[in-house]
Order: sequence, then C-alpha cells, then structure tokens
Amino acid sequence: MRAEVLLEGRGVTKRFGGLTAVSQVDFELHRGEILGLIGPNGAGKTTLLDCLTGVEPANEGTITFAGQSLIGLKPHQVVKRGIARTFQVVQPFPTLTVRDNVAMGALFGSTRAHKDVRRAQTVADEKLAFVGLTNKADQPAAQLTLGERKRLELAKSLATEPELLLLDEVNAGLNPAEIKTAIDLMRKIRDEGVTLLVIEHVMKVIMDLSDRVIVLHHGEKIAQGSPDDVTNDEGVVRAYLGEKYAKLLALDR
Amino acid sequence: MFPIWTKNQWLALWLGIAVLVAIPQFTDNDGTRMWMDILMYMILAMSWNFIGGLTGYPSFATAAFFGLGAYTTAILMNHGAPFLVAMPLGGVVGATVALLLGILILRLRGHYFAIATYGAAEGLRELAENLEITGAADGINLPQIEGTVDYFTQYFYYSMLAVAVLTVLTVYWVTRHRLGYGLVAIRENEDAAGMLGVVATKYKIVAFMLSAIFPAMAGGVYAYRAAFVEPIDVFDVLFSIEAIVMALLGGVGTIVGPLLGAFFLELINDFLWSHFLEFHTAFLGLIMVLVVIFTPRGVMALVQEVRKKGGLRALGGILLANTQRFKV
Repeated sequence: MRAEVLLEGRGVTKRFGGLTAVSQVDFELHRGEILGLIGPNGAGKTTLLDCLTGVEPANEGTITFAGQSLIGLKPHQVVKRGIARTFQVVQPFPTLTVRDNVAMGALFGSTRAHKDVRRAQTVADEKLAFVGLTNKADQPAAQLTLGERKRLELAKSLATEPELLLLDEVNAGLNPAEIKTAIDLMRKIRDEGVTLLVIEHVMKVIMDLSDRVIVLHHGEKIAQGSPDDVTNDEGVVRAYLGEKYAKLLALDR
Repeated sequence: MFPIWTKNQWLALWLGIAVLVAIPQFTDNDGTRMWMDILMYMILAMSWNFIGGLTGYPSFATAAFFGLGAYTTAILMNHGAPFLVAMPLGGVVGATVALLLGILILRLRGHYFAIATYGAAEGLRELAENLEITGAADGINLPQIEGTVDYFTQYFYYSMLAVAVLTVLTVYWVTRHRLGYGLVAIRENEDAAGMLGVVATKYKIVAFMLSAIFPAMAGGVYAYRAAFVEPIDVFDVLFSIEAIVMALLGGVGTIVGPLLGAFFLELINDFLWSHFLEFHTAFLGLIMVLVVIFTPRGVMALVQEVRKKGGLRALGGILLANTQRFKV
C-alpha cells in the first residue's frame, strides 16, 4: 500500500517565448519519500521548481499539494502552505548573522509563524544545531565557506517548518567529505518526516538517497523509476552520454 | 540583528529625553530654536532610515511629505482647525499619499525608485505652485500664534520634541518586531525574502508610510512656526538630501546613527550658516564624499571598529582599508 500523494503535477508546461523549458510533465511525490530529479544541463529541472514555488508560474497544467492547487500562488504564499526551497545559487542575507538569517525563516515562513523575534531565534539555534553550524551563529553570512552556505540555506528553509523540501543542487561545488555530511543531513531531514524533492548532478547522491528518480531532457520527462532502472534506461544513457554509449549498453545486455 | 538594548542604553535614552525637555530652561530663545532645528532633522533622518536604511530603497520623497504636512496644517488651520488637530492630520495625509505613491512606485528598484521619488516630490511642488487651494506660488499665511516670544518659542519646541519622541519610539518598536526583520530581509535580498514568506509589497509600503508620517508632522510644526508656507520652501529637495546625508553620516540602517548624524551635521550647518553662508552647500557635498569614501557604513560603524581594533592608533588603517572597497 503506497503512502498518500503529497504533491502532484499534471501536464506542467512552461514556455519562455519560443522555448519550451518544461513540456507536459506529469509527476507525483508520496509523503515521506525522497524523489530525485535529474537530467543534463538545461533540461528544465530548476524551471520545474520555479513553477512549483510560484517564481515562474506555469503556462499550462495543474499542480496540487496536499489536495489543494498551487496554481496562481506567489512564492510567499507557497512557503506558508508548507513547501520550502533551497537555491542552486545560494541566497543568504549577507550582512546579517547566520542566526538572523535562519530566524527569518521562522519569523515569516512557518504556518505557525513565530511572531516573536526571540522565539524565532531559539528556533534558529535549533536548526543551526541540526545542520552543524552552531559555532558560526554569530558570524555574518557573507563570511561562510560555500559548504557552510549550503547548510545555511538548508537551515533557513527548515526554519519554515516545511512538509516538503525542494533541494536544488545542494551538493554542487562541495568536496567529498562535505557531500557525505550533506547526504547524512538529507536522511536526517527525511527521518524527521519531511518529504524531499532533490535536484542533483552528483550521481552517487542520487543512487544512495533516492527512493525514485525522474529524468528530464529538453523539458520532457523521459524516464522514471528506481535509481537502478533509470541508470540502465537506454534513453537516459543516450541523453547523458550520446548514441554510442547507448548502443554499447544495449550490446552489453 | 539589532542589538538588544542594555539598561545603560535605556537610561541614556530617557536621560537624553529629560535633557531635551529641560533645554528651554537653560538657554535663550535662539538656543531653543537651534535645538528645535536639530530635533526636526533628527525626525527627517530617522524617518528616511525606515525606507532608505532598513529596507534599502533610496527615497528622495522626504521633502514631498514634509511639504504635504506643512500645507495640510496650513489649510486646515485656515479653516479653523486647532494646531493640535491639524498637525497630526498632516501626518495622516502624508501617510496616505505614501500609501498611494508606494503602490505605484515600490515595484521599481534602486536608481529607478530614487528617480521616481524625486519626481514625485517635484511634481507635488509644481502642483502646489499652480493650485488655488495652496495659494499657488504666492503661498499661504497661517493664523499667528498668540503670546510672548518665550511662550511660542517653547510651544513649537515642545511640539517638535513630541514628534521626535514619537519617531524614536516607533523606531524602537519596529526594530524589536517582525516588521523590522522583514524590512531588513528585503534590503538584503528581496527575492530570497519572498521565498521565506516575507510579503515584500506590503512591508515596503508600510516602511514608505513610516518614512512619510513623521516628516509630514514636522512640516506642520515648521509651517505654524513660520506662519507662512510657500512651495519653494517646504518642498525644497534639500530636506530630502540632508536627511540622507545625516543618516549616511551616522550609519545607515542603525538605530542611533541617524540621530547622531542629524545632531552633528546640524551643529556644523548652524556654524557654517552663520560664518560662511556661501560655502554651506559645498560643505554638505564635501561631507557626503568623505563619508562615502572613508566610512561608507557611517561614523557609528567606524567607532565600533576602532574600539574592536584597539583604539585610535588603528583609525588610519581602518580609514585606508575602507577606501579599498572601491577596488574590484
């Protein structure tokens, strides 16, 4: 028996002028799972997240979250429904301390918004402990390393107390040790009951972490299934590595 | 983000207010007038700080709201309203215009916003120069206050002080609550603020209204004191520019920065007006350039840094280091 569907998209399409960045994509996300979203550069992964969060409204299609439509909502409304997001290019509040950065999430994003500033800072300290940034709490965000900034993004979005977390390449640019920390963190987040949609280029992360994977190519969904199914899919190999390797794979079988 | 006020700082605030309340008893009417001007510029600088400092939207509309308040007070008093009704209503008119103007122009960012606010101020001045109700370019007289010189000097002084205290308390409240945090989040990164749930449009409009209401009330006091308003005086863009320079001088986005900036610059201004009238504006420009080059985060930040780095000997190094910010 499958868990309930938390997020569902049907025929989601986003066009920029003549370019169709996301084309008729169907997907669903079950409560408590980790769904990997992969595809070559320019496949439309980030644009799909933009459609979900109201940054770039979809031209066509329906998106429902916990039974309610997300179409037409602005980013600040989407976050209050319980969907948080991290950015591929990190977006800290540079001159504020790490603690204040995270407190913003608790003050404004949460459905149970903590209107009291001190209460929000307590929540911020909890989230900083969770991602292992406690010792940086009083530093300005601009002074963090890239790996730390990625964890700050995580803490900020967790402070909004989301049911669903959309992670856009939290591992890009990190070294292997940092990636291991990040994978452990993502598992810990799932264990706390948060559902995850993860865009990722580091295949090891996708293979280790995802329950299911969706593959986008030129804005279209070309495959979905378990990580093993997807990496052995001829269409996926062709999209990533070209015709030659797809034929080699076929011969292998 | 904003330092929690220590007991000593609270004490300093109440002591400062007590000193200001007592000032007319210890100085002559000229002295009281000078302090009234200082208070007026404190109001303008602190108010600008809501939109320009905390929210990061460089507004040139201070003069617009000041003039609106002055004219509202003048017109209402000529229709028989007492000053203590007319002046607060001037604040309401200022805030209402800020609301409508904000809906129109707060979608603009950076330079575009600055130009739009400047345009709005100039537009209002033109309007005042051409409407019958504002007496066109001739301006309008207000009813004269009655009583001795001592009495009305103090009456205007305490009116200005009341508006200033109201402004300080509002600054305190805003920086203690979600509102202040939301404004700073917008300044730091408006898109990221939206993703975390800050309703940026609403917050920006509130900040713009806060930057309008107190200058409009100060404009009312100014008008009643002069007993005469004319467009070229009360819509003078210098009100906007001085507010900005004072906030810059003290420290943009800080709580006490605009207060100190207004205090020192107005003292300097006063000295210059009486000794070198023709250099006054040039000097204002010079201060602006020096501040931006040597201490772009204001004198408050400079003082803190000097303290942290071990006294005045570090000052030269800090100033030099600040100039390096221009190198890419």
